Amino acid sequence: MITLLIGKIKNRKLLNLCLLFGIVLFISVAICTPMFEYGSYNRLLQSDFDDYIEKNNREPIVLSHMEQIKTDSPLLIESCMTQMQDYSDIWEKYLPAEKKSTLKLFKLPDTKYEREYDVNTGMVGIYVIPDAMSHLEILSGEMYGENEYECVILQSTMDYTGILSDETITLPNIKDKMGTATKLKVTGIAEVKDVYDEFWITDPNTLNNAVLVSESLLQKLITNCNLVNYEYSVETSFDYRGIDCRDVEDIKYYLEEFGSKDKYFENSCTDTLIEYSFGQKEIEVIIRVVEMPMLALLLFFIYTVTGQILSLETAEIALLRSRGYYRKDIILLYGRQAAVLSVIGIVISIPIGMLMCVMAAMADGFMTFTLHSIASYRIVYPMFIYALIAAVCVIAVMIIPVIGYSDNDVVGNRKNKMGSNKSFIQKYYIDVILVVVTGYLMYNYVKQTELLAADIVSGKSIDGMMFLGVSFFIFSCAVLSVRLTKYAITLVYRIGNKKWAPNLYASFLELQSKNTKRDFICIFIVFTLSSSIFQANLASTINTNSDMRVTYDDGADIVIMEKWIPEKKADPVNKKMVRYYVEPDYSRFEGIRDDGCSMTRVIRDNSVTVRANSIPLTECEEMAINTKEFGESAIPIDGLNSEHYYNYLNALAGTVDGVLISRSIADYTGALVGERIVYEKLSDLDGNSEDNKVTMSAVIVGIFDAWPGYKRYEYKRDDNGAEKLHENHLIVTNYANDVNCFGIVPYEIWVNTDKTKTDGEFVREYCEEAGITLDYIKDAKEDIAITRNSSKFQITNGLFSLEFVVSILACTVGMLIYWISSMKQREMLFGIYRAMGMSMKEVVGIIVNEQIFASVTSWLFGGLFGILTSVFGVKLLATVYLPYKHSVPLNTVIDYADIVKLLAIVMAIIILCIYIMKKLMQSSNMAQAIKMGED
Amino acid sequence: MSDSILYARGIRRSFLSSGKEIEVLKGIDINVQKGKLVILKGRSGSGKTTLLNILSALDMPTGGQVFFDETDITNVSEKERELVRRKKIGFVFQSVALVPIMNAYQNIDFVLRMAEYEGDRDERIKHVLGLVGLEERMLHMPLQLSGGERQRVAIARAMAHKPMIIFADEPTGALDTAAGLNVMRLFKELIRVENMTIVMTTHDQNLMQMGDVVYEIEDGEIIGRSENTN
Ligand SMILES: Nc1ncnc2c1ncn2[C@@H]1O[C@H](COP(=O)(O)OP(=O)(O)OP(=O)(O)O)[C@@H](O)[C@H]1O
Ligand SMILES: [Mg+2]
Repeated sequence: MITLLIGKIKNRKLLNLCLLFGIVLFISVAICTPMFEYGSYNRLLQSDFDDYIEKNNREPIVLSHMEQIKTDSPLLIESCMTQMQDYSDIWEKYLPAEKKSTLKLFKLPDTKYEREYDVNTGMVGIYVIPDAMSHLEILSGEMYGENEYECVILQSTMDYTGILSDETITLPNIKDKMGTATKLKVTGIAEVKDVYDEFWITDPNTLNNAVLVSESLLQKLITNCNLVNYEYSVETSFDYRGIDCRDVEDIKYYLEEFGSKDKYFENSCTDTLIEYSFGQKEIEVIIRVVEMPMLALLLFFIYTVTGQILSLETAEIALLRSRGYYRKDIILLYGRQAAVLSVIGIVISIPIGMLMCVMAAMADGFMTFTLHSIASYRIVYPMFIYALIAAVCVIAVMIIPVIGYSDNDVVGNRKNKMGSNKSFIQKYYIDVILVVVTGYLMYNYVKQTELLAADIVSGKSIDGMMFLGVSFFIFSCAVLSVRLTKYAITLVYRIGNKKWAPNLYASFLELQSKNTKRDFICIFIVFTLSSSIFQANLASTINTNSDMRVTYDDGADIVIMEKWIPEKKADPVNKKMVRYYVEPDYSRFEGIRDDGCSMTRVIRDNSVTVRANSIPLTECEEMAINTKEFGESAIPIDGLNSEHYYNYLNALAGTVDGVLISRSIADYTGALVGERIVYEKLSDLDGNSEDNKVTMSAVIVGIFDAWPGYKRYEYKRDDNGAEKLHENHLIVTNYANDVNCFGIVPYEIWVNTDKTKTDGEFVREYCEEAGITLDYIKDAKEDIAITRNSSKFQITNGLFSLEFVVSILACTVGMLIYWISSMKQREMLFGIYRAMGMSMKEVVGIIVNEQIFASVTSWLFGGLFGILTSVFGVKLLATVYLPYKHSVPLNTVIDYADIVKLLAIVMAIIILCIYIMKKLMQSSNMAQAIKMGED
Repeated sequence: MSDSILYARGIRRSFLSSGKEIEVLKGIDINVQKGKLVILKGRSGSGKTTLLNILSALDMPTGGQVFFDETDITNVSEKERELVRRKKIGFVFQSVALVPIMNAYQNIDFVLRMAEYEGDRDERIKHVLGLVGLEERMLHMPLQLSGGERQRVAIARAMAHKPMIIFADEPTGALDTAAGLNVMRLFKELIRVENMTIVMTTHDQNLMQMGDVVYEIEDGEIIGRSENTN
């Protein structure tokens, strides 16, 4: 009796520890939330700024004021400069951001110049840029002198105008009172000293025609020549790295205010901030809905363990009751215990919650982590509020079951144990109803997937119920699996009913008896496993689809475009200079092929006008290809068209003036295969230039839905941050015919690096060595890496990984304590079995059989429901991440390797449980034959 | 002595208790004949239960031998002792010890499966439940039975697999006098109908005269043996 009591106390110590474990997990997740949100928002904000820089190659936060003014009398530059400074000062004062630098430009309107030895003329702008000279270096010649009629030009100006150092230019339109035109001596050519210099908010090279003079000279010109037209601009850049997500609303407010007070005010970041707010709302919803099931699961865990403790303490409660304790005294007693545990929980949870946040922040795939900067994740004060709220929830959840138990006296106790053999849920088919209802809910969402995608694209915030619906469905399946397990047990039991060995007979009877706690554990396992399988599949679906889309959009593994320098020649008819292209030596690229790559030339033009059935379509794209090479070099697009890809290529190869048209053109114009279309584009033949359009006729040999590199659907963001769908049209023609009819123009080279070591880096280096200047290079692998870095997706992955770790932990601990305590509770029973002559092995057999029908069936159901839900619902949630319509349709990708990994992890936990139980049985006197006198 | 079923010689048993060795049984000889109701009586702490455990192969003596069905069960492997307990012995524990997850019927079925009972189990179960007068309660769970009823199920269970001998440690201890008498009558009945042999312990003086043989134990020694020939 004494050993039993000690065992029981030990048991309770363990249970309280488990309870604390659940509480710590719960509060940690709660603490982690605000920290993770804050960090995620900052991360999103920074990545939006980075995107801006990538796209525009410019500082992302620049406020500017640009104005053209006309005064009655000559102006003092000095006063204009002061005014500019005032603007800048106001921005700096209000905007919650750190100022980086201010660039002021003051200039005269572009004016005509004449050169000494060249009849060609053009326009230049005379600029004063304060402090410019310390950020420029003189490449040749020297600085202008103060107050002298001297100037310095930028290299880009020299390239553009042809003006050289030491030359004197005449500005015929800037005359003094005597009528003499101003002459300026170019003393030197300057270039930006450091391309990363923050000073140059606007790269002066983009000005093209800048002529820099000293302020004093320009002031003299203004006064002497009575100039009254000026232009000026002031730009201030702010440090985007230091912007905190919490300041975004303020920044938006001030930008609006500045704009409303100053009609010449402009800023570069409103679009980025709108985009950010849009993404931020999405992430907020995702974080909330992904966390909710996790928190519910943990509360459920705490509830179960509390119930377990109470069921062991019923006798004590009954005793207290009989000693005159009131119900409220008992509730208070347990409430105190809950409060103590919660307080300890909070203390432990603060570091653990932070750790969780760090872990989630480092995920960049489902359960894959890389070390990268997590500086954007910091302690924020709402963490403490969340901790308190979580603690209150914990206490409430712990007190609820006490209310039931506190009413028990000894008699009630016995009555309770005699209750029906079926739980409430089983009896009224609540599980079945749940599955049907949640399944219908999910089905409804799945049915509307396309509509939901359109909503997301149009800027509506995502519906959290989409995520929750899936979680509810998985949970319902988990509840249902308890019933299914029961059926399986009954079935197996019935099959061998008469023949079961005594130990299996005993364990089947045990399995058939009502056991709410065991059911809880089953639900736990099924839910954890199914959700993680679902999440892993979601991640792989998003990754695979997005990779495919990126590769499809690029058209080939590597696409390069050489920078072609146009030749110039005189056009005697129109009496002007014209530009034309001469194809550079293509064989210089041969080296890329060495490794076994295929490559091909592709001419692309996206300002073609197509006319079919006399319906004109402007801004169509044309792709001129060498069919055979193209087939080898472009990415294959099997399955995206009604016919095999090679049939299209063969059809085109067979007709010199053939054309393949996109379905969009066919839809708009009603054109059919075999009909003729005409298309019109600029011709480069005969040294023509800007306006020499040539029209050709072609016969349609095929209509395709998808084509490598053809972005049928494109989205453009409108002012509200919503994106609007735009459909592109493409025609594909024969390369040779195209060159014949329109002349040679710069072409792309598509490289298939399949199965070779060639990569973007190699091609870059190769071109550099061969002296080839590239206009651009598209590397599908690189592009994939960039898209995979999307904040929204990474943040979700972090959450899913966190959820997985938390639920696996809760699952393991829950399983262990349940099984260990259930064994300890049955110690006496096992003793009786042993006394009746059952061997140790047979008793272990009881445990193993119970594990098979409790844990292993849960494991099977978890896998089954995980895959089922994935097949059914992954596409739905994947649209949240890939809402855009694309020629490559969204396909569910079930990653069996991941599933096997997850199943293996859970199986390992089950085996560990069995192992620990076996050890426990062998080491203790548990399952010793009970002796008479000990019972 | 030809119908002797259990024969123990010089049984000693000592326990280590807080470093001190105390001898509880000090050389006991006992001989149980087939078809007899043998009662061990003695004061509390005299060593009755300890003896019963040794006789029923649940415990090993420190010295001496126990011959059961012509084998020395103190000198065989644990596995064989398990087999003996499983097939040849029936137990009635003091506090009943029915398996709580099994109803009356299943409790008995369980023992029959343990003993690999050859005949029709269903028939046998109903028969033994009939013997104890609880046929119509066979689907009741232990908690739904009274203490006396439970004890009767336990007795039915102990004899169901037709063991050679039943050991019962104070089977009447938790029952009132009337119920205790009922159990004793049941035992007598079983011996008559099923040809059992029963060894039991008791404190209850009123029940003594119902035994065929009564051994009196005091301080680990047999101090008297009397036979009722009525
Ligand atoms: N496992 C043990 N370890 C130490 N001492 C024991 C052990 N089992 C029994 N004893 C001691 O042996 C003595 C005899 O115990 P036993 O249980 O056989 O008495 P009993 O005659 O059955 O008494 P009762 O009528 O009260 O049941 C007691 O003094 C008891 O303390
Ligand atoms: Mg005793």
